[in-house]
Amino acid sequence: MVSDIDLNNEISVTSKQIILMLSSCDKDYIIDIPTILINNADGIDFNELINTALEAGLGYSLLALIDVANKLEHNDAFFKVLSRQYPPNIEGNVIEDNIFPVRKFRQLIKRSFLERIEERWNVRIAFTFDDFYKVYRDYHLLPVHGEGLRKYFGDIIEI
Amino acid sequence: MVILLRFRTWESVKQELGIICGNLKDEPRIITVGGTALLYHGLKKSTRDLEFVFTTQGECYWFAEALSAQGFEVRKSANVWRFIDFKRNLYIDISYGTIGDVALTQSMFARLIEEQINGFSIWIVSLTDLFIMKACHSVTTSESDAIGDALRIVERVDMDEVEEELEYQSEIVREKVGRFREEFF
Repeated sequence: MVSDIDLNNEISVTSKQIILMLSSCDKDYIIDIPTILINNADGIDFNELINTALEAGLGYSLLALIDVANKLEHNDAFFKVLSRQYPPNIEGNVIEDNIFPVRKFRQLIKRSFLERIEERWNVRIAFTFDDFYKVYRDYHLLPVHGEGLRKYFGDIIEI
Repeated sequence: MVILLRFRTWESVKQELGIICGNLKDEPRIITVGGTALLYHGLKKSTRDLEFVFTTQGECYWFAEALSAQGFEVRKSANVWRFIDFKRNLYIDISYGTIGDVALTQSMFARLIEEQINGFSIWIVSLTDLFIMKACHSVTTSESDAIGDALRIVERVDMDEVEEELEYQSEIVREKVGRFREEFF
């Protein structure tokens, strides 16, 4: 798995590592996945990635996260993957943090903005859309479009 | 593919702070809060941003100057200044006086933990105070992040000490921590 990070050299991640991140039940890894997909959409071999995930029994969890990525920022590569026909008898999956399991999440948060995605892929997600959005904004939107955002919002940003 | 930048060890935070301290012209009391403090206490595996609070606006200014000298760009929120190194996608949030609704009190100072970095003292807030901050933030925002953090901390805090600290905090802080306990315990 990914160990410590060198601040000057971001670490490359492979399809296998994405699957490890997804299966880790570690929030810090899971909520990064849609943003990693967005930032690297052009270089990802989605066939390989989906096959690896399906072999690990995490195919529909990954598809749900690709759906989340597409919700954050529409991309034709995501749309193509999501439009393929998948078997109708999808087995249920759960995407959760080991500290904050789905059961507790449902009991305490009592809201989810990801119902359509959960329904489509038969996956229950223990994160809000805001959780994913925060990482997306921090890693993707602000660094790339910092000046653009400033044009509209000045120096006032959400933290 | 590239994985996203995160601080995964306290050592990597110290390394970053060491560089910033090299640009400091004065000696502010640097207090570590939020996910950075949780990383220090071993209750978080990684943190995206570094978060610091200062007792006074002046100390906050000194630190801001050091960050600017290093090339960070600033974005302002209501009570937080976010400094961004766009090249590395690195964020540092700084504020002064309060953390959300929670005030910096003398009792909180007495519980700070000191770490030395290149001759500078860096202070880390205790788990008791982190719990109060996270519980308040949870009630204010309903973020599952903050709720998870508060629940993670609560197993390791002395609730009598929490009660004692709440005596020095405002009514709104007492009310929010009370609501958090009612809802999540």
